[in-house]
Amino acid sequence: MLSANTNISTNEEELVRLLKSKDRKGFALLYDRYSGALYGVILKIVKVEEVAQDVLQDSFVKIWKKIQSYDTTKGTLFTWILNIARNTAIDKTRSKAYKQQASVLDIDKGATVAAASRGNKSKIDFIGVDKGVAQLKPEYQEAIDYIYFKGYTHSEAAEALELPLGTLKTRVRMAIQELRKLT
Amino acid sequence: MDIQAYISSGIIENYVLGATTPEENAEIERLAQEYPEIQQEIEANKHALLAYVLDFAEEPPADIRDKVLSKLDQLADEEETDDDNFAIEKEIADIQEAPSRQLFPFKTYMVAASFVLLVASFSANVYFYSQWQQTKDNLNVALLDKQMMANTLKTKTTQQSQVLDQVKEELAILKSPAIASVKLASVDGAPPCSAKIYWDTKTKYVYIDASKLPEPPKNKQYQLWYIDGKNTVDAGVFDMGKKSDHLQKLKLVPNAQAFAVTLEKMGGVPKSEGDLYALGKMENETREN
Repeated sequence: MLSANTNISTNEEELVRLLKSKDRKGFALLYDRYSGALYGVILKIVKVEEVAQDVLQDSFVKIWKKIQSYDTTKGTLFTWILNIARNTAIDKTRSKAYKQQASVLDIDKGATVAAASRGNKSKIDFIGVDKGVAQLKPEYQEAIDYIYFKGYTHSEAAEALELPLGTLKTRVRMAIQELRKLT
Repeated sequence: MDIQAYISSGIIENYVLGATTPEENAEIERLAQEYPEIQQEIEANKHALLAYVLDFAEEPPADIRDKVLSKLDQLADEEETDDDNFAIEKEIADIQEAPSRQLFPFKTYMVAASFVLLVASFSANVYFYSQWQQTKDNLNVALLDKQMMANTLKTKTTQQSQVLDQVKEELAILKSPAIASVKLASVDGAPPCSAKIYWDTKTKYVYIDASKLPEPPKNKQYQLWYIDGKNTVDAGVFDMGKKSDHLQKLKLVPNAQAFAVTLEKMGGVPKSEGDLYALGKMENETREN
């Protein structure tokens, strides 16, 4: 498969220009560059590969439809598409069909499978990922999980984790601070 | 403001995690522009989170790439069709709004536009039918709209061709070599005005262009008279308002040396009672063939 920096010759500005003019090459490039990162996040959220593949496609459709509203001054392209993929995936987990499927497949077990299967697959190294981030303490991983990947509010997450709200808030903040040390 | 307190409040971490409200986001983005420390903090947190997120990266199965890209191709095709339809609709709107275009051969244009519309509707029909049977209802509404639009256009075109016929008729009168014209100018004491008389010396009918006469008071009407020798004879009453935009055909005038317009009571009178407005003498002898 293509790695993240295969098409490093096209810079981000050029890529955004191609995407905004709905150029097919631009989207192919976007896919080659970021599908791995997006798919990983989506899979982490929806946990079932077939569902993750659908969500990946839906995310690209949304990117295609919303690209005109992407404002380069408000952040990088990757942050923007990552948010689209994450939101699409979170919306998916809240759909009725997904919840039914989840109860059949016992998705929480799936979560462990997905986490365990995550090895050294990442080929994306353009921002200098250190594998050290995997060493993040479980309680911090959990906090990021609920807030970022599950899209819970603080009080929803506190309730789900049976923690006082204050503790949860501290953990969210500490999780990011720890990650900063690990990267 | 206390930047350090703001930074250690945890709001930036939540902002980066997407757990802040739109109002909070706006505030943070505003502060980030003002305080470089906050901007730095945001960047550092973002970087850390992305590094964590990328640790989960996993290539999707190879066949997904084609699926995604062909889905996007499909969307691109749809958008193109939409653009075409939009262009046709805009064209129709333009025609309806531009009265100056009424002199063009409308029927030809209408047929061409209808044909394009029909083709567009037909392809849209085929496309939607095969793609989404469940959007049938929507399509029917859309087709109905188009039908209505076509009908409206037809009505408009009929109205416009009536106007066109009228204009052609006027033009024919004006171009006729048997036409003698007289300009009537306002008389002393009357408001400034004028009128033009076209007298067909063959058919003996007289036409008036009354567009430069002032609107008469209610219950009053202008009347044209012709002077033949010593007799002043009624040549008919005529209307103002919209009708005065076009030539109005009045009575037969066997012979005349001058014409006059007076303001009379509604329907006219056999012998003039009202004020004289405009008067004009025949200058040239009529241009007989």
